[in-house]
Amino acid sequence: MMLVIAVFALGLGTFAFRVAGPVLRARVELSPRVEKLMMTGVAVLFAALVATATLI
Amino acid sequence: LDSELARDIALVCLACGFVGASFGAITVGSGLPVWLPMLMSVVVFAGAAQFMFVAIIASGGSLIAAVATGLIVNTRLVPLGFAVGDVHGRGLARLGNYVMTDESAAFTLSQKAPENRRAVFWTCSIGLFVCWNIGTVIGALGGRFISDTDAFGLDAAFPAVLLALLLPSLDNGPTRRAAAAGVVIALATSPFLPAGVPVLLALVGVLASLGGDKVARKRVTS
Repeated sequence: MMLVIAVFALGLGTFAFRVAGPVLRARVELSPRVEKLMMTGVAVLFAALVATATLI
Repeated sequence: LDSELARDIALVCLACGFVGASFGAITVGSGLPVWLPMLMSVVVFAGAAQFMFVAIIASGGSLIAAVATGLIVNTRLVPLGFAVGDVHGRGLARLGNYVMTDESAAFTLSQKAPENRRAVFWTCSIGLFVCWNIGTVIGALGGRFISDTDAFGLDAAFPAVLLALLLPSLDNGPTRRAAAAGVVIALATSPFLPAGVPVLLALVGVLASLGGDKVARKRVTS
């Protein structure tokens, strides 16, 4: 039973993270500058993900 | 969707199915109940967090530690969801981001036109969801013959796909500098921080993209 609750806790938290992104985006005015920074941020995120997944 | 893109997405979905089977088999093989991997693949639907959750519980760790670790690993979904947020409508339509993954975000961001982004997002996300869950069921029930996809190198397929999708965005100096800085930060902090945090911390590397244009201009003029 505790295991089921734990799975749903992780699932709910993960769901909240996934939905938070689009919700935040609707609240932020995306200037071309911010948009460029965001795309740089995503490239950094993927680069770090690839590096840690393959090297760590 | 052009055929080349559709083929790439299909291959990623296929690999995802195999890794899902490995997840199901490993979970059941380590003595956990058969329903656990199936429930997780529907409710959580995040590979890295699922593997870690199971690894912690199977090695006798606490449920709280397992949940916390899974959540930390998944924090990266916030910035990724932000970046692909434009494929969703308003209000409750945003709940559809439930099916976003690293791979579907990467494929989506490789497209420019809004209708292409939407098509790629939904094709890839739903394809991955279906394959991941079918794979999990097969692995959990069919058990022992597929225990570890590391042996097939399938786990390496996902970083490889992300890298391929990342490369076009590294076409300019500032982004390359930011990515390099981020990689250094993530690798240097990995030994000391829980999994997932180094990747978020890597975002500090974005600072390396700022002010770089001036340097580049100076170099051109000198």
